[in-house]
Amino acid sequence: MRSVTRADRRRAIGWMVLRRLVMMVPVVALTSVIVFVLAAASPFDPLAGYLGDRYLTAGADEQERLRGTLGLDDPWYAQYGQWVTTLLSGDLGTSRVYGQPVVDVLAERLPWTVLLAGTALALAIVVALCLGVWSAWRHGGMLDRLVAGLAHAVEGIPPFVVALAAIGIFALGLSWFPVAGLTEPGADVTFGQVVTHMALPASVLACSQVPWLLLHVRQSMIAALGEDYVTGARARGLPLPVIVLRHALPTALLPFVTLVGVRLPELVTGAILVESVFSWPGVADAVVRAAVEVDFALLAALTLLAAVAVLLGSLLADVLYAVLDPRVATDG
Amino acid sequence: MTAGVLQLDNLSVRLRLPGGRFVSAVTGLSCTVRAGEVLALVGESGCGKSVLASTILGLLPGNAQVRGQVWLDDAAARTELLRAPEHELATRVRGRRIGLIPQSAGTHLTPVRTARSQLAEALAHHGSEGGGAEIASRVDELAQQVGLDPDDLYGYPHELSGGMTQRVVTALALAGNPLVLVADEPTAGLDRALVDHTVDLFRFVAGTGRAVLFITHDLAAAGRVADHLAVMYAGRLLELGPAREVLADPWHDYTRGLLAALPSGGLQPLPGHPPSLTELASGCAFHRRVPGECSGDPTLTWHGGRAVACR
Repeated sequence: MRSVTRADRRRAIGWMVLRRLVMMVPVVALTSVIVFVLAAASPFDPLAGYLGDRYLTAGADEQERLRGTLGLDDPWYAQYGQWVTTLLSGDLGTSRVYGQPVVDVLAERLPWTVLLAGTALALAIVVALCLGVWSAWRHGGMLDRLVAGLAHAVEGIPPFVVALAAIGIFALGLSWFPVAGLTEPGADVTFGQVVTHMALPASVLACSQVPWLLLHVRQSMIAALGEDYVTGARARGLPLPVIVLRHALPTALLPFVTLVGVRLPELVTGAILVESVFSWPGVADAVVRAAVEVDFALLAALTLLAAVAVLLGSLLADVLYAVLDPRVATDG
Repeated sequence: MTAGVLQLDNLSVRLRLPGGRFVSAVTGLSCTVRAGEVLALVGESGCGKSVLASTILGLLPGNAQVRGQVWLDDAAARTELLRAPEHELATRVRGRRIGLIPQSAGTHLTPVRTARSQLAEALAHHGSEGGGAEIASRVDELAQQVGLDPDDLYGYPHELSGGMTQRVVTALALAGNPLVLVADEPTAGLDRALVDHTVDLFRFVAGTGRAVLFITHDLAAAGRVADHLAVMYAGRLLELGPAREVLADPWHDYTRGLLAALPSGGLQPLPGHPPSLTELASGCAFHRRVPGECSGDPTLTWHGGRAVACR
């Protein structure tokens, strides 16, 4: 009888995923419309980005002709309509800024961003979990107060200050790590090169995420350790690691899962900032240039990508929550 | 008197409050729980009963000061629990020699794990031999012992009914095969039928040769199952004796008052309120609340097999 309800539960979660995926379509569509409306209102002349230095030398006639060919004078909805038509045929369009297909720009840069942000998030989660659990376990002790105080202090420092300080200390001062880039100039992209070059930006990005993660883990662990079921586990004479890891932690982790999903956008913004400081060849540079030079195709693709990433992140968090906590409803 | 399995000897517990004040939760309490018997400890809310359970299991908060002795005497050893180090309590006493059946069974189960996984875990840590299959069959056996359908154990705590969770925590308390069970207000918030079911479970557990300390504010439930009855007021025992005799012929005014407050006694509530246990004055706290014949000395004196205070 019970196994039937478990199967029902799995089916309910499956339906929830499907429902949420379907609901993503209008959200993404609306986001793309907003991108085109905002871009049309931008004070930058897209032609300047397209022509570069030639913008100043090209005559008014040539500029007019190019505007006509590129469809820059069309109203935003006409441009949007054209973009959607090409998108539905599987083409993201061509980036005017980079002079190559948007797909190629993304294929070149996205993996590096995913690598950097993924490593940083994993690092932040591991550090926050270990320190947070340990700190809650020793709640009120010297080291707990030190960890909590430090977390509050670091949380108050803007990430770019952390980035510059890290460069100043570990790259310029101690020369432990390179200052910027993906590899040494001219060197091949090898595993070792990438790891040494990623160490600083990934740590800085992790550093900006650790404090709030840690403080949340610590807080919910402290609450969980005071719960009846932890007293119950103690009264049963279970070993301390079992009480902490199998009784307190699983319930303390639940709010944490949602939190990570909700704060994903912040990770994306943080990643862009850190990429700029460290000249990391990710999508950050593309985002800034596409925005400044009103590269419709690239801008739209990047914004949609960010929107999809955030929606998928929160969906993943909700699915995880429903899987981890049998009490959670899947009504969507 | 035969020696008991659990013996409380002149036990006093005070909790230190900020500002140097104290809560005198338990004062000079002595009683004995024997194998195969249920001792019911009854008293109104706030009389220090639950502190007693925490004291026995060594789960008191850090601001507690304890005097007296609590002896645990079973096949394993004779141990004085108040002076036993935490490590010994955690690894050899809790769950193994004393089981706790807590108040509000539902909240004492970890919500994100099935009853079966928690029961299997307790068995594995209490030295059940063999692998998963053997533990699983031990789980089924234990479930049946407390009147659970083994299939129900696949449910999460929130999917179980009140009666089922009650049985699950009882099974958990029995997992380490302890000789002593301490039940701390296990019937609080349950309806009558469930209360009857729960206390009948204690009768059954005592029938297997275990000693049960049943702490409750429910005199009717205590009367249903107890062999011996201890009546507690403001941290002290005011009456102690065989349950049948105490209920039929209560000696102390407080016991009489509690009986009169039951539906069968005419629902006459005791006047006034129990005193705050902070800064409790010496002498008899009950007769300050309800005047009556009192020697002014609230220590128990024995008369045959029964003991009473204020004489």
